[in-house]
Amino acid sequence: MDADRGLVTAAAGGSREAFDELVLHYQVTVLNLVRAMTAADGDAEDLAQEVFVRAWRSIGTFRSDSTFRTWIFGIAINVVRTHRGKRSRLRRLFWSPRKEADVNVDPLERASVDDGIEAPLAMREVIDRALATLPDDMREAVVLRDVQGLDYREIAEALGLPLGTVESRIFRGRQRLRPLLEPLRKK
Amino acid sequence: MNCPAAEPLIARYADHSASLGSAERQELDLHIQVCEACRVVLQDQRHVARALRARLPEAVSPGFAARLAARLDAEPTGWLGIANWRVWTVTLTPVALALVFVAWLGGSASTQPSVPSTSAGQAETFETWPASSAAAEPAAVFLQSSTGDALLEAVLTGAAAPAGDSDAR
Repeated sequence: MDADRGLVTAAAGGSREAFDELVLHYQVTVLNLVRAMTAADGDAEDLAQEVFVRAWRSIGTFRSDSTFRTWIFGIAINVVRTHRGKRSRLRRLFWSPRKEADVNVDPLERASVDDGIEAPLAMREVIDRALATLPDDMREAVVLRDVQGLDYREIAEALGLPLGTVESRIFRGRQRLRPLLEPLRKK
Repeated sequence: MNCPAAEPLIARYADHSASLGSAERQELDLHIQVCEACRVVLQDQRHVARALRARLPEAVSPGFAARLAARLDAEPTGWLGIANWRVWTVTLTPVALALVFVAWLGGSASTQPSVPSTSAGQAETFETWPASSAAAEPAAVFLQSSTGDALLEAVLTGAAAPAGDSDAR
């Protein structure tokens, strides 16, 4: 049973109050989904807003055979994919290499010498950087499973993929992440 | 069960073993007991899943809800959405461009066969125009005194501008 059903029904009927309530429930989740999928990209909040604007525009088309969470995650994935497409076109036009300092400083080492940066924040940076190295298809599946906690059937639904493909992408994605997340094992 | 068959199931086994069927789980258990490589892979999968699950969620900035509310307020709803000219302008731009392109194609296709006759007509007009208008006034005077419509008509028909037209100026 979808706990958001009543709010979704009211929002689909045009209730902004109900939709604002849904935004409050999901804003952190959506922001973190978008952030984990776009890594160090500074546009995550703008993209999260775009997700909710699109959701509001199309809330009337929400089908009750899926949960609101799966539905809004599907919108978020589309927003991120569109953003990536624009970003890669711009990169091809105006590419410039990142500063050496940004790439080489280990966030965990920085956290240990700089009292102002807490270890959990540094760990999040390590995780986001590691996720950024994955191909898009693997990153989507891994983030939905391990960062957002969707079950395999929900991921298959959100991505429009067979269950076996989801399993395979998660398996291969985690294997690629393993050496990059090795520093977290020691902490 | 062999390693390639076990691998896709290991992902689910690592973090959601209850979602495997009992037969699948039994087979995988047996395989993992005898396969050192798959045991290591299973541990790696569990480690990565745990690390990602422990990712500290990022908080939204204080102005997030207010900015979103402002954007949603600006969104047209119901019939207002249909009446929003911006939506129509953006949506119909490709259609308009396609229509212009089709019109251009149609226009150029219809004018092409008549080019020789038009040229002939123009040649005839330019030949006959001085003869019919020279008596009335020199061409330079006519050009200076005619309005645009009268000049166009004169060029197209080969006749001089009506006197009233030049007088009006």
